[in-house]
Amino acid sequence: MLLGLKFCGGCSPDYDRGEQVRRLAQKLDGLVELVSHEDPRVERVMVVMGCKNACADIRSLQGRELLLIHEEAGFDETIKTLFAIAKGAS
Amino acid sequence: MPMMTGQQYEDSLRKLNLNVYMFGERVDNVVDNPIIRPSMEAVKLTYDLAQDPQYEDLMTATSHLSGKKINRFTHIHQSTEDLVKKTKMGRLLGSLTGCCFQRCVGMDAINALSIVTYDIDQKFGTQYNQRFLTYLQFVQENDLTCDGAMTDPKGDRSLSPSQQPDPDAFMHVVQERDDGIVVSGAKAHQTGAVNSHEIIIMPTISMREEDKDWAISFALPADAEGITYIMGRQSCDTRKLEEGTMDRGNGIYGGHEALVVFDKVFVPWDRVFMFKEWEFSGRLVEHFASYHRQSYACKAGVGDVLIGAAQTAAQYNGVARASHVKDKLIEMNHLNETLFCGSVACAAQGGKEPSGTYLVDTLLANVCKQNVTRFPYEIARLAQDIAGGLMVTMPSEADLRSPEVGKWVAKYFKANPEVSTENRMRILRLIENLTLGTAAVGYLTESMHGAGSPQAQRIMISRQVNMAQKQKVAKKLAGIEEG
Repeated sequence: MLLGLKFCGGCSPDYDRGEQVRRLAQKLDGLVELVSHEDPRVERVMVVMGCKNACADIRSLQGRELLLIHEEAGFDETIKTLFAIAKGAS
Repeated sequence: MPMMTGQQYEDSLRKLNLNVYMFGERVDNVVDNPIIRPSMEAVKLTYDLAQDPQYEDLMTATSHLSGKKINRFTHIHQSTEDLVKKTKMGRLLGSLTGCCFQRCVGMDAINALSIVTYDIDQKFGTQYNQRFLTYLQFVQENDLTCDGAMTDPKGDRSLSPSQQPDPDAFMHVVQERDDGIVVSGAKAHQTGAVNSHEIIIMPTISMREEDKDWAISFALPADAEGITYIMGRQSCDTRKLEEGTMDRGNGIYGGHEALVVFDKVFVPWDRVFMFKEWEFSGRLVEHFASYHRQSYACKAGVGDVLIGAAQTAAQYNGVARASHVKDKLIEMNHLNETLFCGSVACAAQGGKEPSGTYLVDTLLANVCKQNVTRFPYEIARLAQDIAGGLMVTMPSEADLRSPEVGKWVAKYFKANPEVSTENRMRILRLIENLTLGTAAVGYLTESMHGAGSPQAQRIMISRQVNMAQKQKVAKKLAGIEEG
């Protein structure tokens, strides 16, 4: 499954966004392929934001299914969700 | 090429033929000079982060001219959201470099000119705005770093430009030709000058009719014939020539300033954005200054580094649990976040100018910068308090490495048993760098005088507060009826 990836600007994140995305990619290796949110093929985009201000500009993502994460704890839930979607699709 | 990578930026600098002097000698290889290079690395990061998905939301924008994705440093603010993102970008870069990354001044120059060239055209029927927008498109398409150059040497401060015994005390027109103008003068304190592709000149004060030959704005390639750069010294600068990086404090990044001399330099008309319209000199100064006072959100980012260093030093010294140390760190954070608040506020309260460009709330921008003239000094004082005197008395890296005395340095400067003496020395050197070394130029004195000295902001605050309204309400609530 292709999954678009979009980050907020990262001005003052509460956690290491890159590290968590790498962890998610490792957990879902073989099931999910992370690509740019600008990739026209993606229907679903994971938006990774560093704090609850959640200021990422998502206007260009209209019409796509969005998975919004703004705290480290959100990754485990997202991994479960993506796992279920990927398994269901396969 | 709408956006360069960091490597492409570095390569592009190598193609410039800048006339740079330092320590009385011409610098043939500016990019690799060990004293200058850390400042180039800081600008380079503004290119690399724009390519990084983790930061592109702040570091890039969509050009209102071409619709293409561009580096935010070449963008004209199209909304208050753009202004807020500029504030956040400044903090981000300060927090990653621990120094001045130099590129904001060009962004502030192009935004101020986008407003004022339009305003001049509206009054005089000139064509400056279209000329400027053509230039801007060139800057955006090539992802250029611009030095926004405002501060003239100013000579005798009690005299206007036309009254100065040396007319070059302020940049001025010395010849008007069919194909352009010839200018002479200088710009002082130019941050990042030798890391820039272009230099954008603006007048430094409001002017009167008799000063019209000094009321000029234009842009030139940084290596135009007749331009000479004389590098400013920084405290501890020659540590960058020593073996090892520990005594530098910041082993990667830095900043620089230079005196930029224009000796009869030709400027073609298509690069001239103000020519003797003295009535608009003050407006250009105020708009540029307001944008640049907002830009000092970067100091909150540098403050993040200093606070992190102070906390680390406290742990390495074994005093992190002491209540007074904890309280000092709280105070440092309080002051630092207050700096950030001012910049966010002036951005969020910004508004649209007739040109379409969004300008910060100028009162709040001045309040922001007024805080910046003070708080970093207090944050630095508290950092030095926590660090301890060893920060300025400890021996060099060479002594630590010495086969003869290294063991004594390691033994007697050991504190927390879980931390090496070298790491303790490293974090203390970083605090030294930020509070009295090369980075103190940017974190302290630039905070004081950059974008205008404290009194400049106080004058603007006094002009812009609505005192009459405050008095009116006070009198009403007090039941005062004046005849």
